[in-house]
Amino acid sequence: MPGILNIAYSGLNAFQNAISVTANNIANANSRGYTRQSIILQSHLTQKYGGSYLGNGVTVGSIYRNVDQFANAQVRSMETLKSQYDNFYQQALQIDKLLSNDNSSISVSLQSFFKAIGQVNDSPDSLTARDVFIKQSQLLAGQFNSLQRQLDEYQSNNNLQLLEAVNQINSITADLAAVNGQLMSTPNDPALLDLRDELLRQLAEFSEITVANQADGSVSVGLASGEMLIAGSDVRSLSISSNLSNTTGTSISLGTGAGTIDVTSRLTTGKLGALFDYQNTVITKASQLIGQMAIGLSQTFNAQHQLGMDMNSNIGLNFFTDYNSTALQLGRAVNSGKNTGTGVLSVNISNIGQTQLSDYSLSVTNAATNQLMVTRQSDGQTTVLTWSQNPPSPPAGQVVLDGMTITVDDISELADNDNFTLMPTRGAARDLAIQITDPKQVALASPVRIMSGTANTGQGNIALGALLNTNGVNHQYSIDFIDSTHFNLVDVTGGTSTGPFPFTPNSKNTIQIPDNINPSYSIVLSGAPNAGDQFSAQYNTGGIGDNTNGLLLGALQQSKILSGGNATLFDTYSSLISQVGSQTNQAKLRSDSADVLYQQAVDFQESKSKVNLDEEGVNLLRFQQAYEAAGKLLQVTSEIMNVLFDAMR
Amino acid sequence: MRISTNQIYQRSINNIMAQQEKLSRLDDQLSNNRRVQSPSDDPIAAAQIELMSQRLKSSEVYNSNIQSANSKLKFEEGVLTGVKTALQRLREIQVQAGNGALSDSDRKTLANEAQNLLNQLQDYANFKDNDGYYMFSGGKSASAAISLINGQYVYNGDSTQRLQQITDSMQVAINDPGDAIFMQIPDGNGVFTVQQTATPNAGTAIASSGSVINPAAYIPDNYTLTFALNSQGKTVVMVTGATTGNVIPSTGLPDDAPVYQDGASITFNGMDIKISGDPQPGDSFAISPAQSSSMFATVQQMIAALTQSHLTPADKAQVQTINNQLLAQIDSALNRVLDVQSDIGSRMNLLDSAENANDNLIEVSTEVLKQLREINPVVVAAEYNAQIYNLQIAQQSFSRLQGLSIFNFI
Repeated sequence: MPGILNIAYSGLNAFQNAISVTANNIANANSRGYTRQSIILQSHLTQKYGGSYLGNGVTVGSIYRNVDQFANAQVRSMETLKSQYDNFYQQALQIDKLLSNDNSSISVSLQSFFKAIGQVNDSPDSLTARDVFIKQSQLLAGQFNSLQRQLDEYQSNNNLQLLEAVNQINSITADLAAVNGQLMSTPNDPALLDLRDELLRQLAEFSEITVANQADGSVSVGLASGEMLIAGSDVRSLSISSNLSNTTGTSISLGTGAGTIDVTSRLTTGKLGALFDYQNTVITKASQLIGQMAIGLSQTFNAQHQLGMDMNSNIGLNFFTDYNSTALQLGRAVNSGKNTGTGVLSVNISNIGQTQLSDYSLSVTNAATNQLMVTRQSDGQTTVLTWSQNPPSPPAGQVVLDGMTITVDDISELADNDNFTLMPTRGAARDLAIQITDPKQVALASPVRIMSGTANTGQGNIALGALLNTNGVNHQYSIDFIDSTHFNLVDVTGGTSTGPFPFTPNSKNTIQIPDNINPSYSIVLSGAPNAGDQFSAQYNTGGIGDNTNGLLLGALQQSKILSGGNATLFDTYSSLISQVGSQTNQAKLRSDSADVLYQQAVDFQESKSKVNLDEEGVNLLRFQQAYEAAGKLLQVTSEIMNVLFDAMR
Repeated sequence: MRISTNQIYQRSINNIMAQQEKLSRLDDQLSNNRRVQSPSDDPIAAAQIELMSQRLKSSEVYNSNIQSANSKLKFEEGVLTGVKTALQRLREIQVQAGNGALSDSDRKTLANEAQNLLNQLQDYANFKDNDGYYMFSGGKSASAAISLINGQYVYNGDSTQRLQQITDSMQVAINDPGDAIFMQIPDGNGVFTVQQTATPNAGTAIASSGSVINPAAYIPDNYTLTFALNSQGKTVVMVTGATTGNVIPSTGLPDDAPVYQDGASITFNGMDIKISGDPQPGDSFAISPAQSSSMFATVQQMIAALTQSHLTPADKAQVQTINNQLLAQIDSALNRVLDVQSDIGSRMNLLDSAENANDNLIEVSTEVLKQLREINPVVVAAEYNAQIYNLQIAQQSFSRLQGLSIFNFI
């Protein structure tokens, strides 16, 4: 009899527990990281009764978490993948839209700029047209500046996100270490295990991690590249350092107990990987490319502008500010901050056509023999060079590479393993500005005026050929024909005469002024002049209606000035758009497919571990009915007792 | 497979969100008509769009260059028409001046009219463009093209022609410097001049302006045509050149020279000159290669000839020879203006054809750009409706699903 009572009681107890597990499942149906628990009921040890055994009721065998470590690991690695591509896509999309938007596109401003040149060529003597042109150039420079400012903003936003990510990682790893510690004293606490799995999943968002279960119930966590983050309750935290200026990006270091190591290059996955990748391949590349455009534009435009003559009859000045000013040259070389020498480097862009879209790292390999090594970061190509002894004489040294002339102020101040980062183009768009403000200073005219003598009797024609420099434009020259096939070249200002030179009638005769050795410009004579005919070339004083140089300035629109003479400014910009576009597009496709994989992994894991309310509802009914039955058993026991008591009465 | 309640909700939400995303994309496309919203939508098309719109824009710039070049050339042509009218009137005056019966006062009236026309010509040459700069001064557009200094008309501009880019490879001149139009006009008949030598002729021989009848045989030189008496007492015509020596006759002896015939052509070294009237022995004409002269100087000479003494037959003959020269010179000036006008006309034709070419390019580029960048509204509208339907289905299925719970039944 007490057996039945015990059995009924064990049933009530077991089913109460089962209902409580079910209730907990229902209550936690929406809890983050909660793993569904199941109860296992076992029959109690049996009692030998005669030759057979009598059951002895039910007991709770175990309450276990429906967890699949493989599914969790898979979710973690898919989380890393998805977070990497998602984050990259979200970031890149901003630049993608920025570059193609008509309001921020450099291409649109460049078009307006060249259109204004076309208009001013129409009326070079109109101050209004010149003013419009100056305004348009200021807009163009402003567009370059503001695009670079946007990129800088994205960079600093990226730095902030990295900082935020590092903070989160540190807080997650600290929590994980604490949970590890608790689990060592209370192994298998399901709530702690759930918490730990959830924290690991959150950590995987930032970077790929390795997780190893330890015998003491803790887990060891490391970066995929092997560096340890958590061992037991020990935690190593990450720290972030911006490079000297926020424009050159951010690096992340890991504490090692003794010091720190730079792990930036190893963080290639997850959100951290995405942010670094975005920084290095999108922001930096875009900044280098528009910098190259800015320098290319100012170099070629200034060079042509200085070959012209302005409305005040002066030779043209720099139109854009000097991109090789001392400050800008110094700004292109950044000391690593750990150098033991005190040498200061400067970078002069000597040929933008050869300048590559890359940053460079320069290291002093042997200070004694003046040897250095330059690594191009875009393709890793290294070049070993030796400081030349000029200019002008030691201590300064110089090397030339990829269109850059790199100068050190004092060779003797360099020490072995000194490192410098060279940024020839990155950020150069920040400094593009218009030098001239007076519309009259736009040099549209040629500095040389050519004329045929008014008393010429022959049929000779004079035309101005290429103007190479302005050295010879101040002298007046006269070409005097001795007979129809010979002429003298007379420097009227200098009072010298050379010749006679031969002339071939009815073909183009190119005459270098002042001579073939150091030509300043050339004159093309054709037709059939007679003896005594005169042609002259002199400084174009008052030639305000001349647009010869303006046309050459306008022709820069089509000229291939970048990438070794293979790309116009527009080509370069459109290649930037398509590069960023395809990077963004690729990230979107990858993010989509990572999404699918992630969803599958989550599905698999959730199907194992997550609560199904219907299932719990059924369990609830089942256990409720069992509980009621057990209750009924008590009633039956009591009725049996009553039967006995009645019989005894 | 076992499925959790969370998954049921999550799947429905994912589905609805995916449908909504597609719908919003289509909505964007419909509202701004663009297929490629940002370069990442189609990077290859984006690069092509960039290049196409660049080509389109530069064609538009060329077209606006063409339009302003056209208006400049039209303006110039108008001014030149004024010059032409003035020159035609001057030619009429010159023809009238050839009438020997004119009285001195008639000649004076003509001279006054010629003077007015001369001033008019100078005004035309100093015409200003829309921006207030002299249009015929070449590059020195701030200086008046023509000024009168010490009785001489002087050109103050230069020979610079202003060009404008009208296609990638073509430039067209949008002005003409004044020296070519007004100044450098060969005098005489354009090749050589015929005039009395320094000592006035005593006879009444009148020389025509002459012409080159055989350009291959023409030898430029300073020739002197002299009348002499041969041994038979007949007037003969002799020609010698400063460098070519004796031309007619080659011996230089009067007896070998042809006898003068009134009104007959005298032909030598490719040239042909008619001389009429009654020359005296010793009378002579100088025949020299043409020099450059301005149309203003020609008109000045006209006025001088009209005011010159016109009393004796010898005076009249001298003026008549000058008149013949002047008429040829005015014709040269007129031809020069007509040449420039026809050159302007051909430049305007060039502008037209360049504009056509640019228009074609714009049309093609616009079409390509449209295909690259724009949606087909019909297709997208259909997709849009289908998408709305899909979204509705997703939402309905969710509302059905979320109503399904066993707790409704226990």
